[in-house]
Amino acid sequence: MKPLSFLAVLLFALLQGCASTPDADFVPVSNEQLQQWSVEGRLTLHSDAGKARSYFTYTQLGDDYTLALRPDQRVGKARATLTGKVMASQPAAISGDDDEARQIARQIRDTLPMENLGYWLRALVASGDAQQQVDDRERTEQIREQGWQIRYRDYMRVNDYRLPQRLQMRGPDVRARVDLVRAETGFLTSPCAQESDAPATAPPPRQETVTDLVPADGSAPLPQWINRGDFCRQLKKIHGHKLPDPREGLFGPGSMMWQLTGPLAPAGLGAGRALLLQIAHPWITTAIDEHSIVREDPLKRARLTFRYILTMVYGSTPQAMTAANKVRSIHEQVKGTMPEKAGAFAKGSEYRANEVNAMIWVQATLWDTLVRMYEKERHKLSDKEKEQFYQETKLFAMLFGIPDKALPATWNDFIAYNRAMWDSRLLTVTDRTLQLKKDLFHPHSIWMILPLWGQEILTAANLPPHLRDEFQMKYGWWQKFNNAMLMGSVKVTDFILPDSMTWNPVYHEAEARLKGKRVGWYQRSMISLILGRKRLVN
Amino acid sequence: MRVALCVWLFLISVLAATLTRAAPPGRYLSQADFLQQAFAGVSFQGRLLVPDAGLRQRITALLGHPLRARRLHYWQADGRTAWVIDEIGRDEPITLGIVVGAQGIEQLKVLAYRETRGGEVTRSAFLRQFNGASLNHDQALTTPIDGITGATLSVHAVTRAARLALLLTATVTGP
Repeated sequence: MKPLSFLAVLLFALLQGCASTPDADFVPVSNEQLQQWSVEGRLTLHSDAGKARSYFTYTQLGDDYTLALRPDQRVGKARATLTGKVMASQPAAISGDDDEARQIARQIRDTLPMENLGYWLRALVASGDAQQQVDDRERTEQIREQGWQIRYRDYMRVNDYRLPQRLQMRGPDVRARVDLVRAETGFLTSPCAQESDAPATAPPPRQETVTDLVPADGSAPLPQWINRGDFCRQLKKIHGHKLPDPREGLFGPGSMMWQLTGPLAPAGLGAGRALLLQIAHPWITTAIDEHSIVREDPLKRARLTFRYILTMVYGSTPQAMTAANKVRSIHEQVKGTMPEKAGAFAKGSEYRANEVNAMIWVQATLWDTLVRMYEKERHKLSDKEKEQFYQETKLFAMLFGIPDKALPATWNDFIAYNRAMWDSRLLTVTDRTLQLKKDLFHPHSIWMILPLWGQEILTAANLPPHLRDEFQMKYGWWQKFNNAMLMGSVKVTDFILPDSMTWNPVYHEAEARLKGKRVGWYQRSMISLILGRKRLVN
Repeated sequence: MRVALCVWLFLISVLAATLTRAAPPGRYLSQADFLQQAFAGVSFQGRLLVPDAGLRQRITALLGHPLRARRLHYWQADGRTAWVIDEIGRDEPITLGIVVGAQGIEQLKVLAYRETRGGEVTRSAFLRQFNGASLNHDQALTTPIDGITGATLSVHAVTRAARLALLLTATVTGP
């Protein structure tokens, strides 16, 4: 399989070269802005006392730093720690029971300027009289400071920041090499930091979720604008008592979420269905018309969406929190008034992206479609598995500020909610919706004709029949034949190819993170190709 | 099947190459170029200011929020002080280079702009309004700044950064 993988990536690399290099236009935020951050990797130290080597995590919260050492383990509990304050003259305090690790900690403390390390690891000078050499992309190449020379080799993009990946330090009779695997750039202590005291808007009392979300009289449900207080409370709820290890993130390798979103085929096959169910909601069509770049640059729009969704699903807890805050912020800008009457929504009525009912519907289309396509493409799920999956999706919903009690309580309630929505006036295919559907399925290049044709067939096969008719999609014997052919081809491909090629590369990246490693070159190439980033959840 | 897969991957990669377009860069001026322009060949010295508790309090009052960075970089030569300051517009920091002389602000440049909207603040006509501005007793600018429709938050961020540069210059150069 390796030659095949190599060939595929070679082709990607060649063609990507014609397009753009990931991160080439990235303008990082200054690393001085980092208030809570951590890096992890391996430190190798050569001094008069001999050679020492250890995996480590360096964490800085404000001025307080902790260097956690694990001599022979990439991840897990620290065997010794050094703690202190940056720019402070007091020596770092050492703790830990393991003699070998304590010995390494002593050697580090006695040879490295610990008060400067927090700056050098961020490629920053520690004092005003340092000499700093930068390249034409403003990346630090070298720092000379207090008798030390620090040379930087590679950099990694982590959220809005650019942090060093490899550095070599040379001081008086000391050499040190640092190889970093990953970093976190925020939300290490609290998901919402300063915003947590914001006033909350108490949601109105709910009697029965499905009838609240889909009123029986056909009217629009009561909007519940999400405010920061609600959002942060939900984030804290997740952060506080769900998963003990932030490295695993909100879901982790044993979750149904990872099992169902891991294989690429189910989500890929259902993309059109989920999208059309979403735009059947007049708010979504209007918001796309007025705010989205999906018509001008569909690839960029798709990449943005997938980066955030995949980070929330596969990222560490701090990464998921960072993504959630970004999405909330983006959604806050998406608001306006309805330009015309559409279904249950009156002309001139207000719409917002950060509104509970709308967000519940958008997410419902994702999870309902995912389960449907997973069962069609792979195997049936038990009721218990579906229930577990649904309960996990609630965590995802909370990342958007959706309160637990606003959501259908169980999988069966969730299915009832979906069916009620399909049959309600909340979903309406207007002329604008039809135009949007036409634009979304319009191939912008010759290479898109076949994939979009297939996507339209699969979408027609899986939409609720009356919505399929409203979208003016044919589903006769020819479409049924093609649907069967497409599903069969995907099943065979999935059977033949290894998981490394049929599972989401971000899933593989997350698995590598759990082991404290960087994911392999093939998955890195795929992430770069699909998401336009060299790393997402490492 | 493997040949078919390769063909499929090839098609997808061609598609990706076709659709991928470079986003416009958000970097307008490098720090090195800003400093060259600021000091016009005069040798300058870089310094770091670590605000103490009292100064941080004054900064918080001026900005309306605490300063994120623990330290601030500045450069001095020939009676002028240059600052590189990050201030958040809506969600993303705007990186500004500001030169302060004896008569107030001499130059204000946008080094990097990261927001998706409000980019009008990078226009030189807007930025020139700050030339000659200094702080009055209320810590406001002595020169009125015309806003830009649709870029209100960015205009406010640039104005806050200009006031911060003046406050900090007064701190490092003394009365």
